[in-house]
Amino acid sequence: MGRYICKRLLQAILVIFLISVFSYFLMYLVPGDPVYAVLGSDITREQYMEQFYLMELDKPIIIRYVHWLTRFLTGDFGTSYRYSVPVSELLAQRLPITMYLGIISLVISVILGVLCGTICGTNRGKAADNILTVLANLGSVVPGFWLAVVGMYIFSMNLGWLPSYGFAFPWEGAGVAASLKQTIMPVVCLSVGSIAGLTRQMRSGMLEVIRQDYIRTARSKGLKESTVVVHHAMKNAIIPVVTIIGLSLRNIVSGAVTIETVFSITGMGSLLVNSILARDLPVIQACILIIAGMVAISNLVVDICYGYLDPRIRIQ
Amino acid sequence: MKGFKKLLALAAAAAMITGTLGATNVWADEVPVSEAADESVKRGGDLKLGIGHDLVDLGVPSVGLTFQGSLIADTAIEHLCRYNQDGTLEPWLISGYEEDPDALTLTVHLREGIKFHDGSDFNADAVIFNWELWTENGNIELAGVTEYEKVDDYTIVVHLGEWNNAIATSCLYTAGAMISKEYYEANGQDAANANPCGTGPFVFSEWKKDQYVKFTANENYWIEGLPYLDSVEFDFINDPATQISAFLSGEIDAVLECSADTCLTLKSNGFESETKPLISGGASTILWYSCQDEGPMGNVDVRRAIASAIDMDAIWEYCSSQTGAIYDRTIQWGPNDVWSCNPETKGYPYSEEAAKEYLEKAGYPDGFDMVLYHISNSSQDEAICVLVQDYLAKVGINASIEAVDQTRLNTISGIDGEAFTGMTLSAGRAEVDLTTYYNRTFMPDGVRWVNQVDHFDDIVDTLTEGMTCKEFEEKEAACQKLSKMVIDDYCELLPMWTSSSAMYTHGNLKDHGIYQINYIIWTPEIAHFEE
Repeated sequence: MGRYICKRLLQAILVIFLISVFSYFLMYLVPGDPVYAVLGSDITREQYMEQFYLMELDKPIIIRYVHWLTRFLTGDFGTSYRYSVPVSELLAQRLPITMYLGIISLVISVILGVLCGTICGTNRGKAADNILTVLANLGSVVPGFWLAVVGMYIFSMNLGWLPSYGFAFPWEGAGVAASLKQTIMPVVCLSVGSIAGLTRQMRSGMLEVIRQDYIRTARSKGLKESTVVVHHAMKNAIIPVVTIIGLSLRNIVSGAVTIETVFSITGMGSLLVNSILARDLPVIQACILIIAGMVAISNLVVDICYGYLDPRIRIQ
Repeated sequence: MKGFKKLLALAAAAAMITGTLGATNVWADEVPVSEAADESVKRGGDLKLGIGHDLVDLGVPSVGLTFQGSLIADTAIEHLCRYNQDGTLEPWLISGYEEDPDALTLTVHLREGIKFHDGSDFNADAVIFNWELWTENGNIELAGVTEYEKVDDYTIVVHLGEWNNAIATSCLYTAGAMISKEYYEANGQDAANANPCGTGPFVFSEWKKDQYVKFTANENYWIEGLPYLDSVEFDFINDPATQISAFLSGEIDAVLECSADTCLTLKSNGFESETKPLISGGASTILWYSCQDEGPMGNVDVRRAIASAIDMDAIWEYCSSQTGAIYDRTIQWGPNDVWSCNPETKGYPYSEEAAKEYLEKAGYPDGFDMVLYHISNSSQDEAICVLVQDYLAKVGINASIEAVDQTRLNTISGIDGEAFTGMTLSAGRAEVDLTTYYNRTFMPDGVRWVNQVDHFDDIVDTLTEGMTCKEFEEKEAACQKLSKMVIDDYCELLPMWTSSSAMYTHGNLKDHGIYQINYIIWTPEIAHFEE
């Protein structure tokens, strides 16, 4: 298992390195002078040249990349062109917001998705299965931003129960109740698609597993139905679900651009989009690498989980 | 409305004659009458304004704030002078000023007893510091100043190398936003930028980037009894659906800088924008020719053909019907019906036949291919370009539209911008005194669109004359001549309209002053809620 993890870890590092190279070079291929991204318009020759040398634009791009990577590895992500603050400071502000919403959404999605999928799988053709399947199909096709707008129309404009925008942590000045109100709609919009996907996947897995001989054997041994489902069926049915959960893990750091934009939440997604629009290279690079790192880590975690859930994978 | 505008223009001209140019001009040292506290006004309340654009700079005006940044900073940072309703300067933090063109001086008298939010004194040292910082940060408006002479704590004499009749505007308004010298020196530019520390009616409280900026009432404000409100908060809401929802649900008291979609929806809900024509300054939407192009665009007849081929009135009518902002159709680069506006400037009325004749004359009877740049995040700009493309196609000009980001646009319009066969749709300043912004473009050492426009000697000479003359009539003549040369003679650019943005309230917010006089000014000290 240790060798397996090491191999996966090395692959992840290589992938992150290649992503850093491509993203760095591609950003400099985009037309437009990066000096103007920092200073804006109406600049004099002196201001231009000062910034030009400060950004090391007189040096070859490979040298600039090496300098940037060296600084990055030592924790210096540079200074944002747009906000004129260290990128690490920006990430420290934005990442917790996205992670907070992402983790709540993931936990809710996994619990409800697995539960609904199991109910559907064990009650095939019954009312509960039919209703949940229809809802899951609807949830899969409804875009999050549409849900956000409809939610805003109903719960903010008409009922006045929830705010249309903004975000604050429960421990900040606004208080727990205000924070909770601000969190409900974004989390629901983030979760609906995931719950639907997990429900469908879990249902398929359960239907596949529930017909297996070992389930029949477990039942014939006189085990309780709940024990059969939880200990025998779910553990095997959940393997494909783990893949989906693993893919969802990256959303914890990358955020959901549309949801953050609609609710004016200043998370990683909106930071990345605004930075791309403003050609804020240090922020773009840092965001890409952090997201790439998270994807690599989640893939690794998924692989390890596979090994735990299905020993055959470990042996292979 | 036109008659009213002419009256305003006459008043502005009269004020210029008696005030800004030549004559001595001193105001009594008293609180502006219009701003004294009114005991009948309802006090208190927390004002929440939703604004469609976030910002990156706030507390140091000399770094070059955006329109939105300037408006928000205005809550805490005051100018030495403000524009009043007729487009002339009114002393605010100063008690008066005197210009002496012969002695090449501007003498400024400061109000006494005013303090910055950090408790430091507003005095001559602070003012001189702000002016010097303005130049240090690369701004050119005060470049002609040879010395700032501190006569006493509340009197400064500005010495010039040669007379510049815009020096009062430059010193007292453009570079006249005052921040605390002590705070800046103790904490540095980054901290000062994040914490606007001025003399204003509201004290900066918190800025959460891309989310909100909060201010609380200044209990020690220099005008007793003001401000009326307890706090002001600007919330950044970019999404049109969210703007509408937040406004209609009452989460925000007003929405400004809103999108065309928001305007249309609010209009259909019975709301009217409170924006008024901005006599003293707004944003000008312009199609910039790349005049230095060695191909067709360098030929003045080709540019005339383009100007004639586009039915600008129709595009203007379409765009102005889409938003709640005021779109004032202009032939010239500047506001209409002010003293600098030349009634003789005709532009190029829409005529396909004329356009074809100009193309024939220029040697391009079958047209040519060109590119049309616009900023990528504006759906309205995209729509305008599609309309322009359609009109140009009718005379054989094949324009390909290319959306560019702000960095690319800045590169094109910047000091290293390269000429190309095409045009760029972009915004510019539009103020009464053309010389305060034409110099950034038409002077060879300018900083904006400098490699796209031509720098003809007569334009440069007229602009210089307009900046240095001592009599108002001379300046008026120079500005009008300049306007005609740029549009009719050389066809250097194609102005479309001047505009501000839309602003909607629930009707109970009074005396806010937002988009009433100037794009970047409001009156937070007297803004209040009606019962």
